[in-house]
Amino acid sequence: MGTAGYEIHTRTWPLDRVHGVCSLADAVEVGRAAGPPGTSIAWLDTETTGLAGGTGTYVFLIGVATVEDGGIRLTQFFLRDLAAEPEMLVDVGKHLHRFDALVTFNGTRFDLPLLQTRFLLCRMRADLETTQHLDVMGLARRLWHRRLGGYSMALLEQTILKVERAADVPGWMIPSLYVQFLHTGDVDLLEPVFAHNAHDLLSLVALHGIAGEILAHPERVSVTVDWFGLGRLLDERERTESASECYRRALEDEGDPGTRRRAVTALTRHYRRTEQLAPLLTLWEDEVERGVLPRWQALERLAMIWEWELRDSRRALAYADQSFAALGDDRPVLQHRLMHRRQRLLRKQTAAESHPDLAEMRGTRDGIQIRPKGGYSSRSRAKYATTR
Amino acid sequence: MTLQQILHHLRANPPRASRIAAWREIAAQPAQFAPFPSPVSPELAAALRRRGIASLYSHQADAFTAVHQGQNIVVVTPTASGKTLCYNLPILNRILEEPGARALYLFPTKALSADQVDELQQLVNTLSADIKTYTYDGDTPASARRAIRAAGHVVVTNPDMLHTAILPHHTKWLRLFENLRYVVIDELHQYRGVFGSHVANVIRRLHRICRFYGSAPQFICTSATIGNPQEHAERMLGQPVTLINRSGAPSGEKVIAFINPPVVNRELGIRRDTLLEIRDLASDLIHNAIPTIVFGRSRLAAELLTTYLTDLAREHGQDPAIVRGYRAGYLPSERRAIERGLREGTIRAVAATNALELGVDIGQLSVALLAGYPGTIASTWQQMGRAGRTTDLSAACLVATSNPLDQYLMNHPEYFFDQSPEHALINPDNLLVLTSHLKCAAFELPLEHAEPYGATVPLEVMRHLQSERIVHDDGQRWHYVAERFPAEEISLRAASTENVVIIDDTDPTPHVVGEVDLASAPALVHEHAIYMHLGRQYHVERLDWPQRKAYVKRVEVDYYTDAEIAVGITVLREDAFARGRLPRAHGDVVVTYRPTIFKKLKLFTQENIGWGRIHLPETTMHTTSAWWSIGPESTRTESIPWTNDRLQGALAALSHALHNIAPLYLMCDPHDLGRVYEIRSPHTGAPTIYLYERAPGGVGLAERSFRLHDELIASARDLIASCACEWGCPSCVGPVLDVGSSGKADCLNLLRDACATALAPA
Repeated sequence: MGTAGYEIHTRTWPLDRVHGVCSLADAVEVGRAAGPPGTSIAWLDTETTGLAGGTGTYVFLIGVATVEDGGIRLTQFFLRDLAAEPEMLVDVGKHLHRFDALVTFNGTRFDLPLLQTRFLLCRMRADLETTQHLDVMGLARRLWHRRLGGYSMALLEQTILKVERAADVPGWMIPSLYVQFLHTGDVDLLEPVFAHNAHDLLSLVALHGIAGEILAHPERVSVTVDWFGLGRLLDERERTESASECYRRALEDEGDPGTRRRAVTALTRHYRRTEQLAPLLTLWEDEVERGVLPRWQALERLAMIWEWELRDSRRALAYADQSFAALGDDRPVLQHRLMHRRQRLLRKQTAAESHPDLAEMRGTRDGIQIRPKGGYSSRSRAKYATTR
Repeated sequence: MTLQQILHHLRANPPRASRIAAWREIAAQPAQFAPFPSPVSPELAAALRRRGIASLYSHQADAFTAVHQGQNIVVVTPTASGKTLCYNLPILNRILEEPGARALYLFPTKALSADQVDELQQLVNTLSADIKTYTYDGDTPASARRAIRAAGHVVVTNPDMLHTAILPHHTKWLRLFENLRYVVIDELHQYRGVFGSHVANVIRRLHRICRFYGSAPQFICTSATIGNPQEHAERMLGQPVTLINRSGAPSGEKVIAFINPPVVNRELGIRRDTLLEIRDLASDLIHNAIPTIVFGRSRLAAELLTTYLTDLAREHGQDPAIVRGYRAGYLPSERRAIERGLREGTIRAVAATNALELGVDIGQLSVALLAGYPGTIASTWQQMGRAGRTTDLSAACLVATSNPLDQYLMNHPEYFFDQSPEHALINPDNLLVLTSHLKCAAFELPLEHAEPYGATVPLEVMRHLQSERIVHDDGQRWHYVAERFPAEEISLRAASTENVVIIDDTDPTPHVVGEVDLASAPALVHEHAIYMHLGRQYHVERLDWPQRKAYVKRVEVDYYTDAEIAVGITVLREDAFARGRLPRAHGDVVVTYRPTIFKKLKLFTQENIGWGRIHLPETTMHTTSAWWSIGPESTRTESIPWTNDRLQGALAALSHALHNIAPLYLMCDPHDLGRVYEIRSPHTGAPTIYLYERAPGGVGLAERSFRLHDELIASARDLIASCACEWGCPSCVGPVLDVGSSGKADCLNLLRDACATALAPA
């Protein structure tokens, strides 16, 4: 159907259809937890004449999936004739206006700017930029990039969704198929492209669902997941307790020093905020044992904890010394930093031996680290003593 | 001694005076002032007064008035005549009136844009108005780009960025294009030849995009003196342009002298070395701390001159740091420091290549010394214009080399003083160039069948693009449908923008000392070359060609190296052919460069003290060429026993003479042409000489030399016949070592025959 220059193809999948690991109904339901805010979602995916972007790339197929009439309804806008682009975009704009949120895979960088450009070139203002939007690729990168070595839709279908694509047209061939169609007028050439777009949208709905499920219930995740990445996503959603659990799970087997340091740092922040000094100490003592992070670094952190959180300059000094010993000779800046700490601790220790109260006061004044209101009670030290 | 006394001394001292081939005194010109035209806003006038500008020079007022009336203009006035104000004034005035107005500034180089942004920014600061000026180039961080696109009143960039980054993404620049009122094209004369033809097409594309957003900006261009500024601007813009060329800037008295070094070997026609002659001239100037600039024709010359001048400074008990080199290979930060030193007076003498010809602001210098004719009348005037003071005396000396063009000018100075400077030539409809930009244009916006582009969109080119499936015709418009981003595949500059980085690993921490463009690299930084930079010598230890890196170590040696490149040529297609005693043709060719050996030459004496091989891959280039072969009538002559050696000598002589005389008629730089000769050409089957264009694809010089055949042959004959040497010298057919003992005479005979038949009735 549609005018001569463009066509609108529609079809509906029943909600109980299973795509991947769960039904579409479930996916739509649990996907909400991942966002975006809004009452009615449109899942969107486009096919274009090129991947480079810029003004000379046409969007010839716009697929929009929505929940309607008790099913998932797919509306595909297909540009038969390049001259009909303005009319088609008017219809696309009207259709999208019925929904108040968009979900895409790489829409932030690709589909949406490209559509925006097409609207501008046809002298229309599209308010795509102000529409609520969730780019599932952003979630996928955090959740799976390091675990799977990538986060392309094809890879995620294979490893996470467990769906097969039968005789699918590879993405890189799509632009040339369209040019061939323009040349020959043979629409059959594009049948695989329509199918590809439809399949992409089903997978997008399913992936959105899985991401929602993971974010809603991180404690019962059953698929491969990057715990550190999940922790970050939860942190951003201010679910700090769940986030710290993810960081703890990440530390069980994290071998990459960079990620490990970030996870330990995130946990440290969490323990400090919640005044959990015993786990904080255990955390860094474990790091000394594990030896993934540089030994001097873990020891320096212990010195810091003993100095500022537990206010024991003698223990702190001992760790500072160990850290200094573990540090190579070729790190003058770090050596200087540690020397500085040692000297301050030495002063404190001398003061503590002669005037315990005075030392406590100086410590307060110098204190730059977070400390609970009213200073550290003897209780926190006692708590430490028992766990010890 | 003052400059006046030094010049007097030069003329009074007989051995020196005998070298003066021409002496012209140009009278001082007082300033022509004009009040601020009434549309200039009072706050802008006040800001200018605070910056010490109480009134305008007449040309600045003329420019303002013309722009205010809505005309496009091209301003042609001398160096340091306040050209920038000709565009800054009307533009700032407009932005003050209409804060939404935008302007786009195009500069050919980064060094220039840095200077101009600086100047504009200072004026804006004095105004304390909210006018935002941004530079948008390859160095602009991604984070800043969004702000520039949305909020920059003045966006400063270059044609290359406009071509690859701005036009193809014009929807992101909506605010700029909707409100674009002015486009400034500084140094318009730089855009000539292939580069200029590309830029003219970028301007055509800019016009289209502006039309789409409903804007029609005015163009304000500036140019150095060329023969055809108005015509050139109109061709570049495709619109009428008003010429503003009556300078109101004051200039002090100026002396222009041609100095011809004495002949030291009459037989070989060798004159005293130009650089040594310059050294002697510079001695008094440096001793008396007179700000001087010395131009060498090559990097090597500039470096040698730096060494010589530094030694002079030391001899005269001065800090050697007052002498600096300045050329294209220096890092931007080094160039900035040199420019600042010149302006502030901590640097008193500069040895430069033509990098300084560009309008970079270096303050006022008293003397310019040119080591050899720069190749064109326009660039000679520009280099001489580097010396010039508003009130005091200045001087410019052209010191000749043994080169035929130099010698021709020494013998016919009126040619230089009377001839109009070269015309800047562009051909925006060059098929290769046009096709490239039509792809970009279609990418940016579908091309209407009847749309103006130059004249109209050429149907046959679009049909070709359609058959290649690059565009699709919907019946009214061509749409771009290929996947590739077209602007990235097209470089505006004929020369590739690739370069080789030079890394000094003398010290434990290697650092980058400079760079050379890819085309010059085989000759300058081959293994075992002595590379000179900032007057220091470096030995090239290793050239990593695939990685484009040369590793060097600092050395101090008493020699320099000079590379030889073997050039081969293959004819692809013959476009036209003409019979005669010297049958000639022009067409498309492939030129192959293969570096062969390098020589080690002793500093100061040029004595050859050794050589080595260069192991580098050969490079090729498509271009156009004209060629002449020696017809059978000439080589059958019984009076001359034509051995191969003898033929080779004659060909070397003929190609040398033609190559050197052609630039006078083609109004191009000698470096724009290359020459090759073959004893038996596979294409013509006869002894053949080629003059080929060094710019890939050519700009039409080959075709013109084919058409100018009669004049070329006649003046080559005159050049050789009037030369006093016996067997050949660099000033006519080349040194006797290259042409052999019979080369000169044989060549002259061939030319006489050719002229006789050319003049004989058919």
